[in-house]
Amino acid sequence: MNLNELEEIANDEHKQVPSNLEHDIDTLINTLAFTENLKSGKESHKAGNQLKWLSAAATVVLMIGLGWLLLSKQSEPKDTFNDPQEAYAYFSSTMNRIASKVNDGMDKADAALSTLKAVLPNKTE
Amino acid sequence: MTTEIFKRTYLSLNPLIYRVAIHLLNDEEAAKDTTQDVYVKLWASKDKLDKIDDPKSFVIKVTHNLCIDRIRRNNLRIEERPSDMEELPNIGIEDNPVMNRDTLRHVVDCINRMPKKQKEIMLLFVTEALDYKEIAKRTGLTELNVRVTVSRSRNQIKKELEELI
Repeated sequence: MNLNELEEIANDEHKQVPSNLEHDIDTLINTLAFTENLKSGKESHKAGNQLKWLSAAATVVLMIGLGWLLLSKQSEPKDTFNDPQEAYAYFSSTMNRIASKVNDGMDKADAALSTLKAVLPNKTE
Repeated sequence: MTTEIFKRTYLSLNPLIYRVAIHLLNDEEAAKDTTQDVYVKLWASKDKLDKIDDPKSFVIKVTHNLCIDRIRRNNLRIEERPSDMEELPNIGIEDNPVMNRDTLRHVVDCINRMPKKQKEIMLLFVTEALDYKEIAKRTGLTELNVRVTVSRSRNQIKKELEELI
């Protein structure tokens, strides 16, 4: 039996075909498509993409939030004194306190240097 | 080849396949079964079907070969394949060990074992290929409910298939 004869048989519309055959095949193809998607994970891939977009969006929101927080912290310092005289007096006392500490330190450093000179005269000169 | 193009090109050829199968096998059930086998085989190679110039002749050849295989499997007598029967074009149309009738049976069995409502939803989703909206309309459930049921059922079927393969 050659191809031409088979084609003749195939095209012979007098030969009855079950009425539900096309529906059965349609169902079969749909099930094949579903099973293939299930195996290739198309839906989960779609979900994965959605997750990626959500992560990206969350990162952007976080960056904007952090940026806003940092900028708001770097705003102009507020005045702590209303009276300039009072501010100057506080400033002077602070500077004096620093100066006295520095002087103490310098005295101690001089004393240490003298001791070193006495112990190691050659190396310190 | 997408499902839509596959259906458009090959679904209407089912009477041709059946007529060849019933002529060669002389058994209604076997002919129906072979018709389904032809579609499973075509689907397994659907990415290569674009190369087929004459789908009609092609499916007739595939049907003929599957019928011969079936007859040989059942040790039935048949005259030798004639030498003027053309060979299939070499497009790698072979059995797919994963996408076969057994896999489909497992999917359908799994759906059949589901509780009534879940089964109803999945049959509409899988075999009728309806979307969430249409299923919601037919079942009287909300679209979200249908979506959740389908998602849960998909995972259930996937898990069962992974355990089997």
